[in-house]
Amino acid sequence: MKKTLLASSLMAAILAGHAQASDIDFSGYGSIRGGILVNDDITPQYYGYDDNIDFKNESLFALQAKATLNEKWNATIVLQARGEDDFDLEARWAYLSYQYSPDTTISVGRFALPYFRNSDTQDIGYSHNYSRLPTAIYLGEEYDIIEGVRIMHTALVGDGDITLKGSFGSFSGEAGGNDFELDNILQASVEYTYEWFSVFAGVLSADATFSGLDGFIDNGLTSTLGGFGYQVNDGMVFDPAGTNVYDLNKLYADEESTLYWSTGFTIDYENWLFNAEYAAYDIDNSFVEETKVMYVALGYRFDKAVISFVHEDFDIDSDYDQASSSDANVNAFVVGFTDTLFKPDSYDAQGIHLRYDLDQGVALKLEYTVINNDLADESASLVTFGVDFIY
Amino acid sequence: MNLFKTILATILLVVSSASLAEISVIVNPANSDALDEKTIKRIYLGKIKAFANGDKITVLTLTDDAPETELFRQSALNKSNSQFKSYWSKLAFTGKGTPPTEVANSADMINAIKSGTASIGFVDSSAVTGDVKVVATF
Repeated sequence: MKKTLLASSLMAAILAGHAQASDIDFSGYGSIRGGILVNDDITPQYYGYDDNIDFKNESLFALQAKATLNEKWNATIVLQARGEDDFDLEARWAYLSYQYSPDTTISVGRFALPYFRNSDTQDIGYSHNYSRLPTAIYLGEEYDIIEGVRIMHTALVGDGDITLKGSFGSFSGEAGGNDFELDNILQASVEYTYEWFSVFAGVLSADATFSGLDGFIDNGLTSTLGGFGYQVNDGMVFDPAGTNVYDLNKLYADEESTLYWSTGFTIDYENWLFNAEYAAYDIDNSFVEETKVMYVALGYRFDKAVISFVHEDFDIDSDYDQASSSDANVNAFVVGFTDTLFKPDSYDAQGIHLRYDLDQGVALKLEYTVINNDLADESASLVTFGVDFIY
Repeated sequence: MNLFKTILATILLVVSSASLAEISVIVNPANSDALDEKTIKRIYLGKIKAFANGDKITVLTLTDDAPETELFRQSALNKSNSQFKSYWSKLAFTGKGTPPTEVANSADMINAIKSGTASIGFVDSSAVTGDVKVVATF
């Protein structure tokens, strides 16, 4: 409701601006993509395809309306319809911007949170040379839209330039089908760009709350150990003798501090393109010790085509620190639960992506990617084809 | 042998006249800023948004399919049309800037520069008139 209200007030601001005969610009972007797993020993996480051809999962349309209210102020809304969400229209961005100086802009409202270097442009297929930004890092967008304040500053430094970004805000919604909240999100990043290369570093901290998780863990324990006489009462685990042997609060995610950091570089030299990103993140006192993700991409630009090879890796470390009960059965449950939930997620993938610029603002994309599940040691091969456009 | 020379001369003539097409970057005559190639590049990539006097720059371009546009982007910005549009799509949809405004043709460009003291644009050098000031050629 809050989001709807924000979006509609922004819309009202834009229309009011229009009534005052100020400039209103419409533009947009979109993708239509089809894909199929041609060899599916596994169903890979995070890719959203199976062995039936699908045109919906990665297709999307977006329309941006930007109203210039005056020299300093503008209001922008990006309405996006994603196939993944049955093309339900969502106000993906809705913000008011104030240009404090030519180099400094402050925005308030709803915007994409730059967890990683390209998080805010991951929907714009036309802006990059792949079928999608590497999934190991760019997981999708369950909780990357926040409401808050963002400040951006650019400065020329020698022959290059520096962009600084800082955000503060919060997220509330769903992740993985559970209620998920991120509070006190603080984000800062810096990027230095010189003619043919750029380097990036970013950090983000927040307090994460997974409210659906508590019951899930309680039920997991009861169904695993309940038959042996173990009981869960208000987050405390009692062994068959009635002794309190574990505090499940160690596993619940309730305002746990979470930290993301990421770094990367891009090189675009004499038609050779080379870029890489690395990121690591964790939620304190949770099952997962640390998630480490990376990709490297090497590409070559021909006249109207770019061919890229992408290697990506998604790795979850579990240290089982939470298996600290005096009771071996409870520890076995914690370890087993961790493994069941997170171990199958680790994967790596290698893909070849082709971009062909068909016409002004229209790019064709082709992809062949092999996704390897680390745990099962099995793989799937994905073929996608699509068209990305801007207008 | 003579025929060979004639052919060679013709080829040279064609090649050199093709490379003669030249782009002039133009501003209002009242604009006294020294705009070197690097500054022009930064203006067209949205990295510089104001002139030295603090005036917000109105950045103009000819249409995507105009040969002048392609030549300007390639020689001044070192980007093809699609690279230029990809680059700007990242800025335009994330609140980082507004891409250059399109004008329909050279005559409109000259008029816009003539009347806009904080505007910058480009035309084929053959279209330059006394109403505008050329700050660089590519």
